[in-house]
Amino acid sequence: MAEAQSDEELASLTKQGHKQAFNELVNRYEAKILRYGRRFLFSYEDVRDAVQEVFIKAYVNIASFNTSRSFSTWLYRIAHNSFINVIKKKKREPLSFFDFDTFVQFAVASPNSIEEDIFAKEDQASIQAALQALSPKYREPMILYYGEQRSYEEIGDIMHIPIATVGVRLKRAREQLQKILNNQSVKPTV
Amino acid sequence: MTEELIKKDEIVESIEQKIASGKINPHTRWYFFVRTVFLILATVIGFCLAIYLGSFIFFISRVQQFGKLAGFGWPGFQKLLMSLPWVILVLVAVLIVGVEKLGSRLALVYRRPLLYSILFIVLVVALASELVESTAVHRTLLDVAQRNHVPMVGGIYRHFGRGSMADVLYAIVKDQAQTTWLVSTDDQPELKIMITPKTQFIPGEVIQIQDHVMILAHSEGPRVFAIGIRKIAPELVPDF
Repeated sequence: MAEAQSDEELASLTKQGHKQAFNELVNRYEAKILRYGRRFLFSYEDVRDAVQEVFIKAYVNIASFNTSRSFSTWLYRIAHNSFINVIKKKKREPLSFFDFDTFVQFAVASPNSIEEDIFAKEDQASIQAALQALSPKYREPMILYYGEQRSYEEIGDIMHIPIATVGVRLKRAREQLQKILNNQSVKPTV
Repeated sequence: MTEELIKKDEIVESIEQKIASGKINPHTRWYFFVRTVFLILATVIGFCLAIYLGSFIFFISRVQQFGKLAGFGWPGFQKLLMSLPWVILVLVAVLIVGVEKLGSRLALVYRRPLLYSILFIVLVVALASELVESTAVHRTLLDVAQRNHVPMVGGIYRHFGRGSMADVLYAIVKDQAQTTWLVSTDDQPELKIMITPKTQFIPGEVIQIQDHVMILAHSEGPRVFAIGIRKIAPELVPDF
């Protein structure tokens, strides 16, 4: 399959029944989704199964994909749902039904005002360990923004939350992360 | 090529095998079309039901004169709280949340704060309910319900009909004495109401014989004491 073809073109071909086109999409995204899964479901054993499930769901539901939109955001949305289902099934971390963050309007912190990429600067092991101490609602936007380089808008579309809420969660997550890292005597750059 | 395949991650390989073997197949466009139709239908039905129940609440509020109860001070306010159709109100709230949940699949909805979507739905339901209430729908259903011709909703209309508010009387004043008024209600052509210094009246309101009144009362044995009395316009007297 030609590298030049966009994700959306490959998705369109998959819709027409070209299985090879989907294989190419799996090849392109397998490492990214696995990385996202490993960071989000750090303490869970069945990350590989969950990732496999993501691609199977994507293939089964490919007819519902709107090729005028971003395939990667659509795939990350499926991954988000699958990973949240894993957390729900294991019942190890509480997931609230109602979240006040999504209830009212917050001022959006500009993405440019976000500090430097802590994922790049800090010791990966300590960052990963500190992330696990965050609740899933704060951990996930951190992983998507810093780890997967997703924009606020994309994170909002992946998590189905307002863009302003993405900013609020990132801000609170960084504050919590900083506290955790300070307690671990690791000075973060944030 | 063979070397490349060997190097392939087991996830990729497993997915490719499943797809190639035909173990997993994509849903057809029809599947998503039918699912979308069901989602839209559920949303529309939820909306319509919320509007119908909302208009019913407005209807019984109007015929039972809930607003006028507040004029009787704290006892009237307590009565108002107790008389509100809480089950229907909760049902409307559940429907509104349900409609929002169904709508939250759309970017237009989830990109905005939950408060905005909920307020928007509440506003639309309230306005549409007011519009439906102003038509003859509930009045007609009530008339039919009184003749027992409506199998399901008839009971609800009768339940919230006149007399359903215990201790609230709609009457016409027949005679007035210092401590006793004689009134006529639908059930009793002559009913003695005890007036005490605690009986509340609307300041400046003069009630005369033949006036239509709403009485918040309480009974002690055979005697009925008035907690509050106020005039209501004859056209506002519920005729059921």
